[in-house]
Amino acid sequence: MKPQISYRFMDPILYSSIKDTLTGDTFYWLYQDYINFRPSKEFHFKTEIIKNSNLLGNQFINYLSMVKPALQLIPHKKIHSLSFRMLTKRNKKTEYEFNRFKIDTNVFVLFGNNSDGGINVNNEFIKSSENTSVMFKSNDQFKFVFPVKDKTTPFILLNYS
Amino acid sequence: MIKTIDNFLSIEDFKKLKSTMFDNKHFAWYYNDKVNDEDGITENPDNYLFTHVFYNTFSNSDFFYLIEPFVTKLNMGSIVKIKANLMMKTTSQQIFKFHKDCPWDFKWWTAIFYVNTNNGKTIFERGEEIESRENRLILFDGRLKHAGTTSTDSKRRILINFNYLNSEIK
Repeated sequence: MKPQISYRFMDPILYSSIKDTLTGDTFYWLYQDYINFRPSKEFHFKTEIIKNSNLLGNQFINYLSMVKPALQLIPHKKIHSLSFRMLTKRNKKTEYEFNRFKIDTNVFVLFGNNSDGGINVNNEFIKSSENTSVMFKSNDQFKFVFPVKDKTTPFILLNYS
Repeated sequence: MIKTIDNFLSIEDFKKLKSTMFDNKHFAWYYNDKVNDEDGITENPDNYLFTHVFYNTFSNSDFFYLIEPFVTKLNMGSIVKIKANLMMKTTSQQIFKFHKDCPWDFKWWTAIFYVNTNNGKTIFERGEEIESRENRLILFDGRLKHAGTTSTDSKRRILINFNYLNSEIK
C-alpha cells in the first residue's frame, strides 16, 4: 500500500515549536550504537517519550504537550511508542530497515527539517521536508535513509492503533 | 608551553568514564549546528557536533562525578566551563577554526582530555599537533589559539574540554 503523505500537515506556528526543538541545542539526544538491536553496522540518536504505551518519565510531559497538536490530527485509540530520532550525515547513501513496531498497527512520521535524508516506505523514498508527515502500516517495509549532503534528519516516529 | 600527560586518569577512573560516555543509555548529547560559536552560518555539512555540558557556572550534569578526579588532579581553583564534545566520523578530515575558548586577556587554563583514540587532532596556531590518544590530557595557557579536527577512522570522536583558573598539577 502507498504511504499517505501530507505536505502541510499541521498549523505552521505549532509545527515551528516542534521543528525548533528537534533542530535546536537544548533538546537532548541519546546515542544508540544500533538501529533495531545490537550489534548493528549503523547508529543514530534517539529520545523515547512513550514505550509500551507508557510515558517514560515526567520530564517528557513538556515534549508530549509539544507534539499534542500533531497527535490530535491522527485518529488513534492507543499510542504504542513515541520517539524522536535523528539521523546524522553519512559518507554515502545509506538505508537501514527499522522494524520495531507492533504488528498490524499504524506508523506516523513527521519530519523536523529540510534535508536529503528521509525514509523509505515500500521502496518509495520520501525526502525530509518541514511539516511533512507520512502515514503507513507497521507491516510495510520501512527504512531510515541517512542524509549525505545535509548534517541531520530529525523526525518524530509514532506507532499507534 | 603545552603539557601532554598520558595515562592521566587511573585505569579504574578511566574505564568508568569511557564506558559511561560511550555506553550509558542515559548519557545525553545536545546538538550544535556549528563547531565554534564564533563561526558564522556554515554551509560545510561536516561542521556540527554534539556536546554534553558538565559545568557552566554551576554543575549542569548528573554525570559530574566523572569529572571530580580532574578537578582534584588539576587543582582547579575556579571552573569556568567543562563540556564534552562528540564529533562524528567524516570522509576527509575537517579542521575547524582557530579559536580561544574564552575572550579574556588574563591567563587561564584550557585542558583537553581525549576519551578515545582516533586520528582526530588538536592543532595549535603556532604549529604543534596533538593526536587523540585515550586517557591523554593536554594542558595549556587558554590564550593559545587552537583548533579541533574530525576523525576519519572512528565512528565517534569524544573529548572533554576544560576551562578554569588557578592550576597547579598535583
